[in-house]
Amino acid sequence: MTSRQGSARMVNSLTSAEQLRMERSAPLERSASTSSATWRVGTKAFAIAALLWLASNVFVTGIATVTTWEGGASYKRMADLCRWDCGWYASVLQPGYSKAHLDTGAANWVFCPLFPLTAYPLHTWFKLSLYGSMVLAGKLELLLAIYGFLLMFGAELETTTDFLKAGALVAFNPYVIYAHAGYAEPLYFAAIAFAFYFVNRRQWVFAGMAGGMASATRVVGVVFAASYLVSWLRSAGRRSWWRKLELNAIMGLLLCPLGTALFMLYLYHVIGDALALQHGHVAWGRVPGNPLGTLWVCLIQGRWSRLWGMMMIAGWLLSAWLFKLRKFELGVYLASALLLATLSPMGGYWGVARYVWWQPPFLYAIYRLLRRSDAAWVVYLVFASGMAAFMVMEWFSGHNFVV
Amino acid sequence: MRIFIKWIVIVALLAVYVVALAAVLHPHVSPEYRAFYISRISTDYDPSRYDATPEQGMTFNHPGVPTWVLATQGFSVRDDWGRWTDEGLGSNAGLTFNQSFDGELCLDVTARAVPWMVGQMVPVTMGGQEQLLQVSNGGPTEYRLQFAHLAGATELDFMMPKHLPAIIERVPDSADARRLGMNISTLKLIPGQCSAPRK
Repeated sequence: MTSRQGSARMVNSLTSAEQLRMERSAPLERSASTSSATWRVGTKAFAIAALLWLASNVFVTGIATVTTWEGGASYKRMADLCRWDCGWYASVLQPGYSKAHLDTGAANWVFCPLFPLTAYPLHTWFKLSLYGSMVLAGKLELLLAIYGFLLMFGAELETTTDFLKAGALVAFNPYVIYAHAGYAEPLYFAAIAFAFYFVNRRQWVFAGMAGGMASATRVVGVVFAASYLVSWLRSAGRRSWWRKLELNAIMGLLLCPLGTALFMLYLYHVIGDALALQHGHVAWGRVPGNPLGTLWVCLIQGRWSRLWGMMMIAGWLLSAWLFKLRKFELGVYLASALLLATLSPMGGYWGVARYVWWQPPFLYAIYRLLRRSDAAWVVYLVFASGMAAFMVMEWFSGHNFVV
Repeated sequence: MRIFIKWIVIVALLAVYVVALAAVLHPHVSPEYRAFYISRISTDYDPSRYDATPEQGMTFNHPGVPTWVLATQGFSVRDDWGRWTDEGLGSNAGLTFNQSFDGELCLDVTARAVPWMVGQMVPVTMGGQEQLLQVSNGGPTEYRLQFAHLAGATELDFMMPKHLPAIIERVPDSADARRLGMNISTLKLIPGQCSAPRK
């Protein structure tokens, strides 16, 4: 053996040992590296969410104050933002669900319990007024909503500007008034965004818990189970998913509609009707109908109804586009949620803006559209914040097209 | 052990859904609740009651119902003038009484109708008898129908024509998706023979 051969063998031998050591340590290092990256993204997302949350609050408070100068608004304190459904949510907290109803048959059974429950500590422990605690709970949940939305597709966001742009879609949503008026939308949005975040990470039980919370906030949250199923099947592979039945994944799936199921059982106990949350809508003239009929009625009516009809179409188009982007779970969710909204004719007319603009998949699709052009961002943010300001003014005007 | 606990959780969750399904299939509600919220044939649920005799009649734009009316069905919500029949709430519109009517009775109804119902015959049934009401014009009109030999009549029904169009189909500017027929303003049950309607 020559010295060169021995040396080469030694190098090879060292290299193999080194490779073996590296291979053994790689998963740990990769894991540490991934964990560190997740932490960095999480911290950055939270800092930016907090900044945008403050800006959103200043924006809405500022517009509400200006509206008192010329618009005749009665805005003096935060609780004055609590109107329309906020009062119904407050009635869930006090006096609670009961057989009591108005002469029209309208009752608080159609309002899911999780959002008012989150206002409970503010009202009971911190002694805020009932309406003030509803509004503050919604505002705090907006922070979670922005944070959850940034986490939901944080892997696609590279620069701080990307994070700011994405977060602004929530903080300066055209219908951001709902985040500042004691409504369930921000909590629902946050729950769904976190549910998608966890489902993307294959953290099935957490995803199911977030989905369950969404379904306890708004009934439409139940459709997350469909998105969950799509994600699960895709992750397991087409042929072998049934062979790899993961108990965690099954538990997660069963957790998704749990919020609604428990609420139904509670209503059965109180009212005697597990579907009171759906049947109660009849007092507002809402009965199940043909979604296409609802859309047609919206389009032929003109004014706000036509605009809402166009929003519905935009929602369905973006849902189809999400399928094209192979974001099947997001597309399924958006399409199903819109379908549920339009099954109820009156809900389809009046509630469509909320159904469309407070859906994480819808705002994600807008982000993907706007990502192509900086100019489009400027145009969109001008439109969104202008419309948001208009909605705040109209909130105090007494018109019911923003309810 | 962990797998066993997971199976326990899964079974418990499934049990919740089974119980929820059973609750959905077997509601424990009153007939009034069912009529208003579930079958949606009435727009009155547990209405307030006001004092009025059958002869004084029922004023349909007045909140609540008179003491002699137990329930309504097929009528839409109150408006300034009265209440419309709405095919969306059922093909019949009528009243259920909490007292029975016997003998001769005159039904006095003041109503108007949608233009496409003018000239149509509306069967009105009470205590197994049927009388025909011909819609004479779209404006407010007083109609009187004679019922004879009633025995324990507790229900009155207006059998509206089938497949009435939604308002929105005939009046494009309207946002009203209801299938309206007649708007009743007052309804009186007067014992004895009907006199000629006031002109």
